[in-house]
Parts: sequence; structure tokens; C-alpha cells
Amino acid sequence: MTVAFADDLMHLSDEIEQAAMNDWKTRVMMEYHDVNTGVPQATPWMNKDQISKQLGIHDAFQPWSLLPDPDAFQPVADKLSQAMGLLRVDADFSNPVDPSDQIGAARQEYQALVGHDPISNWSGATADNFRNKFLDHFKANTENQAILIAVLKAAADAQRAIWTNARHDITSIAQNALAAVRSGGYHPNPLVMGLTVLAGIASIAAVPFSGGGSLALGITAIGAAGSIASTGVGQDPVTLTGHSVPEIIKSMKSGIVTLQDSVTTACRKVEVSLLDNLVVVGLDAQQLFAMAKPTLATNDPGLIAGR
Amino acid sequence: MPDHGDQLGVDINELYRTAHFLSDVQTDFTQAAVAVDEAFPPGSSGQWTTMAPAWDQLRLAIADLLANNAQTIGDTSDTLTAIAEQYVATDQAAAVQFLALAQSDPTEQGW
Repeated sequence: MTVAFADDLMHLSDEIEQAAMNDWKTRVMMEYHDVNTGVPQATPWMNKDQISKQLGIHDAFQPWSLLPDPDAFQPVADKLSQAMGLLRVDADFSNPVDPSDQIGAARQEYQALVGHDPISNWSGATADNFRNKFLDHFKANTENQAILIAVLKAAADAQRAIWTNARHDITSIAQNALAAVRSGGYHPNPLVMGLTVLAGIASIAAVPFSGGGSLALGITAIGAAGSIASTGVGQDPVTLTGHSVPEIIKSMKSGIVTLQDSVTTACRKVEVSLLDNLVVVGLDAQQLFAMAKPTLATNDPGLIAGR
Repeated sequence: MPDHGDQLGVDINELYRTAHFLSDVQTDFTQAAVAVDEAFPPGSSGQWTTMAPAWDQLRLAIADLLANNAQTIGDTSDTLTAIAEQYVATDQAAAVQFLALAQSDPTEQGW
């Protein structure tokens, strides 16, 4: 898939370049002729590579042929979905940041440990410690870790959307530029192309952690737009315009710069989201994720059989 | 007065079942840690991988949390099992009752 995209894009680039070269040669020949007799005169000689370098079309598109393969993020998302599924502590568990993503019923081992006291026949300080420090927080700790995984998965989905839309947008710019160049560069009406990179990602509303008490701790994330309740990011379109091939090429390059800016902005949004979440994981919020080891020991006088 | 005999056997079964389910949960957490650890982004693509370091940091932090919790859960399970075995060794009647319960379907016991 990646190779096909790269080949297709550079083929479009070659086509644009060829059409632009033909236009360039025609203009040069028209410029260098005797105005009285119409006899062509010596034209400045440039080889194909020099013309290509001067046009800069290949250089404009080449970096985009290296865009990551969106499909390569599917195994990443699958792994994270698998991890969430292993933490199904609640009945009818769904993705914490995308409730439409139903994962399944609670696993039996969790059901056996939450919602009731599994050591109800035991008393003593140690038994109470086990309940207060470990069992009572077990469900919340597990749910909060599932939230972290869900946030990471949302970031994977956002990255996939960025690369899918970036490929679409650069291809669209190339196709429209080629059509304009082949028509002789005459494009009196601006061709407005809507870019999709930023519109394809969205901020997710804050997801509260379980057991946060009055701290109202939560986590935010970036995910792919359309699949979750989110706020989209607006984006200015690219305009392709000009009355000549050089003007079209210039307009095309400007559009590519705009697209580059949107990809950079989108990537930065995801990066900032990931780093913010990393801070949350490392702070005092650690208590929401790390399970406290109960003070259990064999021959423990604080663990009494019977109530 | 602490339980003994048949009732102690019932009590021991509680510890044993709790330890058993905690052991299953430990497996879940361990496998989840592995899955998160393996969820690394696709290969390097130069200018297009600026998000990769931040992704990796968060991924590894989450995998560590899961692995550490798996350890805690596993240790707790092992300790409960050891306590249960210790009690079994102290009371013959309790041992018989416990064995009967341990070999029966936990769902029939309300687990």
C-alpha cells in the first residue's frame, strides 16, 4: 500500500513536471525568435535535469512519498483493544473514550472480586487492611488503567487519520495541479480544495477517573473525528489559481506548504496530548493506577477466620 | 472465637477462591502489559515521526503500571494461597470440608 501510494504520487509529480517542461520550452522558443521574420533563434540550452531542478516539482512532492502507511496503525489499535479487553472489570464494558466501541461483558475473575466482599468470613486488622487498601480500590484502579489504554488507542486512531488524510490531500493537490497545467495553466477561477488533515482529528471531552474523589481528575485525548463525541478542528482550504503554468506551479507549491503546516499542527496536537497524559500518569494520580500491596502474611494474627 | 472444623473449611475456601481469581487477574494484567508494550508505532519515516517519542514514553509508562500491578496481584494471590494451606494443615475437619468445596463448581458457591 505504501509503495503504491509513493509510486502513484511521484508518477503524478513526473506528469506535472513533464507538462510544465513542455510549457516552458514553448514559451522559451516563442521568446527567442526574430520578431520581424519569425525565425527561431538560439535558445538558452538547459538539460532536463536543470529544468527539473529549476521547476522544483519533484522536490516539492518527494518528501510526501514517505508518509507513514495508515494501515500500519491497525495492528497497534488491535493490540490496545486486546489490552482493554483483558481489563473488563465492569458489566458490558465499553471503550472509556468511545462508548460506541463495545468490548464485552465483565470477565469472570473480576466479577468474583468486585461488588461484594470475597473474604466476608474473615475479620481482624489484616483482613480489614486487605479490604480497605486493596479490594476497595481494585475496580477503580483497573478501570483507570483501561482509560489510559483507551487514550493511547485514540491517539493511534488519530495518527492513522492524519496519514490517511495527508495522503488524500497531497494527491488531490497533485491531481488538480496536473489538470490545470495540462490545460495550459489557464485557471481564471480559483480552485478551492478543502484539506482534511486537521478536520480528521478531534479533541475528546475529558474522561474522569474512577475514585478521584473531589479532585475531579480526568484525562483528555486526541482521537479520530467522527467516531467519538468530540470537537473538530477547523482548517483553511488550499486555493489553486493562476493565468499561466508558472503561476499554477507557484500556487501548487503554496498549497503544499499549507498542507505541511496542517500536518505539523495535527502531529503537534497529538504529541502535546500524549505528553500531557504522561504528566497525569506520573503525578500524584499514581494512586489511581497503582494497586497498594496489602499487608498480608502467613501466621498473621490480624487475619482471623470468623466474624 | 475463631472458626474451626467445617466452618473453617468454608473460610479457607474463601481465601483459596479469592487467590485463584486473583491469579487469573494477574494473568490478564500480564498479558495486557505485553499487548501495550507491543503496540509500538510503525517504523521510522524521518520528518513524519515527531510524535513517536511521546507515544513511546506513554506506552512504556502504561505497560510498566500494568506489569507492576500484575506483580502486586500475583504476590497477593500467592500469600492468600499460603495462608489457606497453613490453615488446612491445622484442622483435619476443615481440610476435608475445604477439599470438597475446592473440587466443586465455584459458580454453585456464588462466585
